[in-house]
Amino acid sequence: MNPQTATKPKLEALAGKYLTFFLGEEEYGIEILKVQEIIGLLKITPVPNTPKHMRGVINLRGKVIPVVDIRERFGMSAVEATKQTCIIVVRSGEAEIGTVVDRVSAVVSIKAGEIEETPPMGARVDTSCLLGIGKTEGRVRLLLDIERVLADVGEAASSPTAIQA
Amino acid sequence: MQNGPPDTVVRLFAIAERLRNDPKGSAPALEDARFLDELRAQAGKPGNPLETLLQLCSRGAESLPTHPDAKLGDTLTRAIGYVAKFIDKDGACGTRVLEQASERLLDILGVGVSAAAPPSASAAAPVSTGSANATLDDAASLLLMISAADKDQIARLSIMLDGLAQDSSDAEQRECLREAAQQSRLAIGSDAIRAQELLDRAGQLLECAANSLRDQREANAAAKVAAQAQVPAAPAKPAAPAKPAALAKPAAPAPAAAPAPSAQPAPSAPANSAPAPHKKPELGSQPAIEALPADADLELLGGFIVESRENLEGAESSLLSLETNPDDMESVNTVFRAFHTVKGSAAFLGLKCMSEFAHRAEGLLARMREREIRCVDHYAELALLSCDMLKTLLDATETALETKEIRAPDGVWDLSYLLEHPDEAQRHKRQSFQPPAEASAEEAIPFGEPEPPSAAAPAVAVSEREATPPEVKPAAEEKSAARGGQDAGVESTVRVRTDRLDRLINMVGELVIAQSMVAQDELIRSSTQHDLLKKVGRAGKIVRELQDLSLSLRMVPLKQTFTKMIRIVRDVARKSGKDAVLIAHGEDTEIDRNMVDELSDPLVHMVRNAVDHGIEPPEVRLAAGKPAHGTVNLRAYQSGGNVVVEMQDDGRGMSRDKLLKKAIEKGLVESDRGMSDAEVYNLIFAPGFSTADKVTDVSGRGVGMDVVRRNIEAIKGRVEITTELGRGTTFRIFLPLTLAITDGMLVKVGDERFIVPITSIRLSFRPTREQLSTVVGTGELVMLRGEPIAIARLHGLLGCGNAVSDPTQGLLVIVDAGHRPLALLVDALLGQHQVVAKTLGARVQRVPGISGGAILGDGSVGLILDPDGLAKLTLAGAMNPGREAQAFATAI
Repeated sequence: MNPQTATKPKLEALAGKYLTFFLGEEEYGIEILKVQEIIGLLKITPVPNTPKHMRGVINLRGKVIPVVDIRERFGMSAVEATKQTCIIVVRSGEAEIGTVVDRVSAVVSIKAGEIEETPPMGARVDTSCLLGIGKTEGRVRLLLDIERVLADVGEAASSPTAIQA
Repeated sequence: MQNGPPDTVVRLFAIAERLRNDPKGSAPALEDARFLDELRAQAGKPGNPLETLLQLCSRGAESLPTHPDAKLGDTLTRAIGYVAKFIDKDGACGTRVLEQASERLLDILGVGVSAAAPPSASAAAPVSTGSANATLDDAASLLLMISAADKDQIARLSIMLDGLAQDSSDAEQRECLREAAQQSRLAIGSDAIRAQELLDRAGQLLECAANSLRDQREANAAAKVAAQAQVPAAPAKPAAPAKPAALAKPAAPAPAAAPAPSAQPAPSAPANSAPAPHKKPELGSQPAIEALPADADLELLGGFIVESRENLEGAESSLLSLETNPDDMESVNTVFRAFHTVKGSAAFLGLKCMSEFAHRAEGLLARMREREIRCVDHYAELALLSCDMLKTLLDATETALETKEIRAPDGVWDLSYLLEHPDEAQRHKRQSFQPPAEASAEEAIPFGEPEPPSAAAPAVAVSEREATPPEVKPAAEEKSAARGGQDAGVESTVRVRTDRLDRLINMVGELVIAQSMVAQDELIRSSTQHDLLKKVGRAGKIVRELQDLSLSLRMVPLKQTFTKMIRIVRDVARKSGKDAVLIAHGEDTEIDRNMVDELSDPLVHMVRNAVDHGIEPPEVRLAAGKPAHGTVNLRAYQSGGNVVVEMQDDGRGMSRDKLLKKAIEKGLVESDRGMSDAEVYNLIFAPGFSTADKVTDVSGRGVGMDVVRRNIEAIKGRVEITTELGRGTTFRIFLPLTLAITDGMLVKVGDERFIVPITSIRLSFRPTREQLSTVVGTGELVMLRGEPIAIARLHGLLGCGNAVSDPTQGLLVIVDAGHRPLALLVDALLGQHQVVAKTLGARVQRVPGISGGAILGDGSVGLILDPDGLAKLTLAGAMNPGREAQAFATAI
């Protein structure tokens, strides 16, 4: 993973609405403005010679868009798809990218005061993709820097090391 | 009333244009008269200058058909031009010009049309509104009317200007007037062309003076009266170096309110009659930067740029055809019209530099049209150069859309000077040329004169582009005529934004998929409802037709690109002292619009190389027993699923040995062992090879050839070279018919399906065990008709499970990968499909071995294989032996 270099936006600037979803028991949030739509899981065509977290590509109404497996991206164990498994389509600039999540939860408003910086978790936990931690309704939600999560789809895909034997 | 909608302005220009071209057309003239009358009704209270002028115009238009009179037509045209300008500028240019136009028109109408009603009081009024300004105006109108050859009138003008200068109370204005007088005095002693130029300059200075006067007048109305009182004294002051003989005569006619036009409209005077004649030529001042008019409509300008480019393309191809057939008046007319249109539109948009330049260029063409000169030698060269310059000016204008400043390109003034004095150009450039006898330098250039409707200039007024923005309507009409010369049928076209077109095509693509999903639905397929099946089938048919149609929307003929090449060959040949022509074949072959743009650059490069390096100098050619002039054949044709663009020269060809030597020197290859000819020739595409020092004696085709190949590969094309030493070289560019659609073979590899582009498939077969062998235990080969072909195990390369791993149980698909064949091991062929190739999303960059994705009939995504990439993958795999190879070895 890339070392965290970019300065994170100020915590106050993070306040706003988030779409939250679950990966296992953990609840994550994506800035709602970045979310284009949520679609049910459909057939994902795997693309060879790409990083493992690149699940493949799907047909989004005639457009081919890549789908990232966030679990794989964070090194979490894979799970069977359920009825609740779905794809969140994120728009980042011109690109649309899908992310597979276990279950979409809700849209919540998180105020500035409820956001805290991600505490250092040691070298083994990659927190570079986290903007901060939101605490509302007594729950902890990990706010994702979705751009960063998805940024290395292309880069990794094009790097020669990604070629599988 | 002054907020006339732009349509009005456009209509007015259209009327002016038509009156100029066809003063005798009676039915439209009456209609125009009605239109003008209606406009007059909206023009506010009777007696205001606009209303007056419109009334006169309307009368003039009415009487024109019955009393055809070139002078009237001309004056009317100008008057309408003024009105249009006035309305367009919302009165900003002042009523002065209107009053003056009224005067002139009234004068002619009064004399020329006996049946006309006597001028109304309001119409006569402007005559008496003269002030100090009126004298300036007199000078200005005198200048407009003056013939460069009429020394007496010029003398009179200079005196008038001197007088005005004397009387001027404003320092700046005085300076301008003095200078103007000086210019006109110089003009007396010069030949006609030079005189015209000097007069132009004088006119410009006069305009400066008038402007400064206007400012002044606003500041101080009293000063104006004083100036007026002094004016009559003016002519008495002798202009120092002017000829006394000339002085004596014109001393009398310079009273303040003298209606100059009445005295001066010599019918023979080939005066300026551009759509906006009050704008004086600007060339003298040579501004390097021209600000975009503050009120410029950027969208309009954009349209103008596009239109004009097309016009100039047409002009250029006509000019080139004139080179071989200089007496083809239709082509001359085409070029003339193109220049004229550019000029008109540029003037309309307030692009001074461009309109002036186009005006000069048009002047040259007008002389050709009058058969005064022929479009040969330096005249042709000049015309072509002007065409280029106009294009450069267009580029500058395009840049100005953002910067708001038009940077006049280098040499524009020099060139425009040469346009006025083409024979000087000839003197500078070529010594041997004999000017045609009829090219009389004594005559002023009759530019912009009302065109007599003659057989040589048929007024074609079919609107080719109905959807052209109305602002450039006259231009559209001109263009259709310009095109009409070459294309028998007049096509009507609509300009559409590319992004909309792309979206439409995408949507149609989606529709096709959606439809096929319906058609292939299990419920439908197993349905016993024959009616429903019929309906679905019918919908499918329509959708497919729609798809074909939508894809053809993007297709354009290669003609334009090829025309450009003709020009390049011509220029390069001249520059390098060679004799070469380019012959284009199949220029109607259509390819995707995006590809046209991408193809253009590499082609330019290759054509240039072919002439510069491929074609030998005439002496060498003759010595080699070839005709002195080299030929470059440019062909385009469809072959299979490709469009082939072939460039063939009959030059010296390339030598395998020398190429190899160079390549080894450069460290590109170690030796030529095992290299086929094609591979050796392909070395010229290697980066680095291009930067080699002069290889001209061998081939020379090096400069930037790697870029050529890259560009072509970017549009999924490939290049092939065949060459024969001493006989010439042929480059073949194979391009897909369109970027959007790929004919693909769906293949099954384990659980996955992939699409192999049909164009790269040679054949497929199931090998026998005897055909298979391994190389040093790892590389796998199949022998096909004596040719060893490397095997790429798709399931291994692409990581698919449950695949057939024994080639004798599966199929080998032989594809062209680069310039070597490659055998892909697949489970089975599933069938041929037309697919719309798409990228794998904006963020996913190149995936090795995969060129893109396509939506399959069931709605899922199929990946399109890239044989070149697979070949590289195979190579990489062979370098570190994978388990497949071992498995293969054990299988054997």
